[in-house]
Amino acid sequence: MSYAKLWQSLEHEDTNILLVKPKSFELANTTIESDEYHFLFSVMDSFNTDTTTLEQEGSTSANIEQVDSYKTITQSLLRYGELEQFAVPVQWEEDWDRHLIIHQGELATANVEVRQPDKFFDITPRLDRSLIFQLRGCITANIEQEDSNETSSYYLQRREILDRFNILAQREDNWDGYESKKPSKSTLNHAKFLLIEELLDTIIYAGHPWHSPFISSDEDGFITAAWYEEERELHILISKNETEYLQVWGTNIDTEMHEDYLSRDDYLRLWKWLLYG
Amino acid sequence: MDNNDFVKDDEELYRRVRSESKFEEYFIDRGKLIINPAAFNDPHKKPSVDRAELKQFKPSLSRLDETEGIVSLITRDVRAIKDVETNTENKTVIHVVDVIHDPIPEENLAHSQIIVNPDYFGTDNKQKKIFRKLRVALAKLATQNGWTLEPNV
Repeated sequence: MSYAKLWQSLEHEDTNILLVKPKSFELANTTIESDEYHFLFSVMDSFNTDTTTLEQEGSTSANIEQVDSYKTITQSLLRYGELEQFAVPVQWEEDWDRHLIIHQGELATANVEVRQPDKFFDITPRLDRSLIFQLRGCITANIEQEDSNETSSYYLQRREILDRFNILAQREDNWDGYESKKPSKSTLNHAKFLLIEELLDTIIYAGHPWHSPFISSDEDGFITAAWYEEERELHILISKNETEYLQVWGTNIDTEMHEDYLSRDDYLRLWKWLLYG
Repeated sequence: MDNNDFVKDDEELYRRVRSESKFEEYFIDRGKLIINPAAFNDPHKKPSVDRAELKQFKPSLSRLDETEGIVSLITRDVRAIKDVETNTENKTVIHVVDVIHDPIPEENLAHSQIIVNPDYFGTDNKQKKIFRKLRVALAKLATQNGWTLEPNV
């Protein structure tokens, strides 16, 4: 079994996200060395409480457990992952992202090894049911995951966009010598959400290949994302409150460009146009 | 107007493109050079170019340092970007894309500008939208032509 090392080291106070699609989930070995961290297991979006099942392998027959909330799933995860050495968290914190936070004081030891058996559960791999493991404030961590191309590439694509936003956040006014404004935090957040949670997830979920855009900021501090495919170009301009797109298939502004405001209904239509014309 | 002041359709124009890492005016996408529309940014919405023949067809004379590359545009192609429209409440105004000679004495006699005529007007947002499309078109032309002089990086 081969594993891809997803993180070797994490910067202090950085937030690192590993998003694992459940179908290919296989967290083999997690070693965290720090006494200043908390470990977050998150369940992205809510599970459908009526229909979601949790199938645990390793038993002679499928152990199907109706779950009534994401808490149950997460607790099962913890138990199944031999995390009993962590005290069952005494405090649940639910924020918009539905994090389960195990605080530092709830850990039995600073050096923890978690071993998960192969594919310990199986649910339909929908992106809105993905699990997110977040590590905040870690000094070092070494997390290995089965080298699944699908999962790894999704993670890398997401990571690539986040890295790019970290660079844009460092910009100052007049960064380009043309009096351009730096992007504001709210614009960066809106753009990050739109490009990752909306566009990337929609495209991957629909089964289309994803091409990384060139992401930058313009003279107003708006975020720009551009894709190039043969003669076709798709430019997206993201401000704090709204998003516009520009389709380009030539240099004639009158007849070979089209611009409009971007809505969710446009994502797949524009992506198919970009890829296939 | 002096005949020499008119920029002929078949004239080559140089535009300097600044460094990839700092200004991001170009990048490589899956092995292919892409000139970023930001390479044609200008605070006055009149991107500068140099007339190649007035630089003795030496593109190196148009760059300020060796990390910059030079791309070429043909005046005819720039003018063929066609008309840019501004819609006002009562009418549509057609702006013609043009290249005009704008020598800077003792500094750069080849200096020219890519303009629209009549000049941009209307709300700031409208002007920016038009200029954005013009930059996209210019960058597309430059991408099609590739480097005239590669940057030394």
